[in-house]
Amino acid sequence: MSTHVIVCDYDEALISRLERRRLVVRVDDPSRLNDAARFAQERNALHALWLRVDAPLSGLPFTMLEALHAVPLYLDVTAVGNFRTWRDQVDRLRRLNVLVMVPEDAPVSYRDLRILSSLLIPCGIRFGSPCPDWEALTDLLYYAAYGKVLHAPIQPFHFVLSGYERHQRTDFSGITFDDPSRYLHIDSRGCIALTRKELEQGAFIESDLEKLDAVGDLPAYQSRLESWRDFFLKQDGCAYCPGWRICLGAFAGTPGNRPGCQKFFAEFLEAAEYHLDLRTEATRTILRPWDACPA
Amino acid sequence: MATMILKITEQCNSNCAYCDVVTNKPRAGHMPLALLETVFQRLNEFLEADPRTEMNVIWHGGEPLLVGPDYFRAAHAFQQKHCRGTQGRIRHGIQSNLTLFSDAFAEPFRALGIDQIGTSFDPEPGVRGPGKPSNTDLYNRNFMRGDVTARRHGLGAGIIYVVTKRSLERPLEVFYYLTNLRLDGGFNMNPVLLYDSRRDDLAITPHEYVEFLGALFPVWWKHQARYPNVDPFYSLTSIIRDRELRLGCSDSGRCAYGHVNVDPAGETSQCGRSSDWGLLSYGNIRDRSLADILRDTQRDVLMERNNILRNGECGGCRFWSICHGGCPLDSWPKHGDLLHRSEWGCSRKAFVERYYEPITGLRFVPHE
Ligand SMILES: C[S@@+](CC[C@H](N)C(=O)[O-])C[C@H]1O[C@@H](n2cnc3c(N)ncnc32)[C@H](O)[C@@H]1O
Ligand code: SF4
Ligand code: SF4
Repeated sequence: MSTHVIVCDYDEALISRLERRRLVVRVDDPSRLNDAARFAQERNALHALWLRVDAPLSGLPFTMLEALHAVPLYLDVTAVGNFRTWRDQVDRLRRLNVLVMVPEDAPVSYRDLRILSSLLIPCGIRFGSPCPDWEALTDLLYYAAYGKVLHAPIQPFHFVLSGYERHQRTDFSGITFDDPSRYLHIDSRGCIALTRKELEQGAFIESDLEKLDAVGDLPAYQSRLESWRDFFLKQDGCAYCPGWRICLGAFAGTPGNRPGCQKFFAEFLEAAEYHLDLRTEATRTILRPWDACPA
Repeated sequence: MATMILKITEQCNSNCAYCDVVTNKPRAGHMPLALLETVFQRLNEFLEADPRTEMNVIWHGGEPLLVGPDYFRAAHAFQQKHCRGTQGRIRHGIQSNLTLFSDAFAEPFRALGIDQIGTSFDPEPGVRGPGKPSNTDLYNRNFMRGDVTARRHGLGAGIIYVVTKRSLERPLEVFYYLTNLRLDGGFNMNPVLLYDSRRDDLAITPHEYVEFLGALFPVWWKHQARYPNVDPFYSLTSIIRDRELRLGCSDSGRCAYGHVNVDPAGETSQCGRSSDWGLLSYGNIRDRSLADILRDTQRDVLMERNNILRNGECGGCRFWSICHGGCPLDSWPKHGDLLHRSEWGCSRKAFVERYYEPITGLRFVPHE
């Protein structure tokens, strides 16, 4: 059986066809969250519930969320909203296994993410615009990577800082379930796509759900996993960028981005190296002469 | 350990702008199988006579994959037939442009014990590739396909990058490109060697090579854990900091009796370059044993060169032990003999003095 996590909408007929798979179930109506969780958990391993709403966090029915304390909750919202309306819910949110995602292209998000993180609520940036605000992003990176005050992880910084290995590519697209080596997206007819965007555009890699386990063998799938090489067939651009190994060209195609993106990812890479050194240091065995000698 | 460069073909599916093999009217055809069988008989004879020695066989060209997978299967069969007791002392390696690599090569390569492929790559347009001007797009696409396939079979492929005048325009970008392509390291930056004015648009001087390396070195030194195995930096660091003597054929001063090039007709010579230039020819492998070829008295001049240089042009040089005057063949175009030092050898000294020592704060102390 394919090891992919399957991402699909809450559709009982479809989920019934996906028995014993690990699922991310997407819901766009908060009132359906509990049903979706119950239904998916009956037959499947629920990797996460993905709530996508055109509303701020402050508009969510928090009491309803509480019943989901054991379920990883991915809350994809437009903003944090009016803090006064949800400040009493902070403890409740902290008790949940939650990740709050806000859009990069809303300037208020940078402030929101600091608030969420400082309240120990895991959160992250959803990139949408082709040309993010690199300076604001760099400030947030410094906060996430070097801040000494206690704070919750901010994605994708945390993903990269905690997973970066020097001799591998680091792909943070999984933060939005868009990493085809880990996630496959399926629509109500059982058509399979490699990212959410492709699913919405009808660009499928396979239209027969019965062939789900064979997707990994499809030449089109294999070549997608190797598509990072396409950058190396161009005369300039991302392959020549020092930060490519953790960006992988995520912001390619917008000429105005460089050198902003390069500067940002160079900083990000330095931070990733710093955290790698901390991790390595943490696992170093130190001599403890006061411990008893092993027999 | 002796090394045999086994040039089974001079033909190539590429036409790289700087390549001597393809510009020197390459011989048609590949090494016939009957001759390949003789090579294995000679290998066995040589290894049986000296049970302590080993032989490194580097399959080379031209483009060695042009001969097809069955050719390597036949090679393995010859090895099994003729080298029963000695095959454990034969190590196979290959230098290929990878553009023809397919699944079919994996099994015979595994049988021969090949787990690494030396390969060559350059992103600059018009440098590597078939046709005139070289079709780099096509080369690079086929290279990537070969690389994917090789990796799928667990075959690593270290890259030789040849530094040309084009590289001088953007050294750091080239460095990032190569380190991104090979995140686990494994590339070597060699200077382009051109001995006539045919390719003034590509040729560089030793000084330019040193400056190219100097532009990269501070970045490599600062982040050497991020960028491992980038040569010549990695090897120099092993030599200078870690006191390990890692020398290639051109720096070791010991190539005289340990190297042989066998061309597709079985003619032997000191190395690929001497063969391309018709120098140091030791006769046909059909007619002579490998032991005789490796002891040929024409080789003595390469040992004598060590004495001549140490007491002459290289006298008192603190880098002698890691340079030995560089590749003797470099002396030929300018002096018509092999007895002068190579200006490329001195570029190592220049790099260490101008960049390596000041940047690292380390000082090269000659090895005993
Ligand atoms: C002659 S090729 C043969 C093997 C194979 N076709 C390949 O390209 O790897 C061996 C190596 O010599 C290098 N080479 C060819 N001409 C050169 C030159 N003029 N100066 C320096 N290196 C050169 C190539 O880039 C390649 O890495
Ligand atoms: S930082 Fe910019 S130039 Fe570098 S890889 Fe990312 S998108 Fe490309
Ligand atoms: S692929 Fe190798 S042999 Fe062929 S032209 Fe290029 S350097 Fe020369």
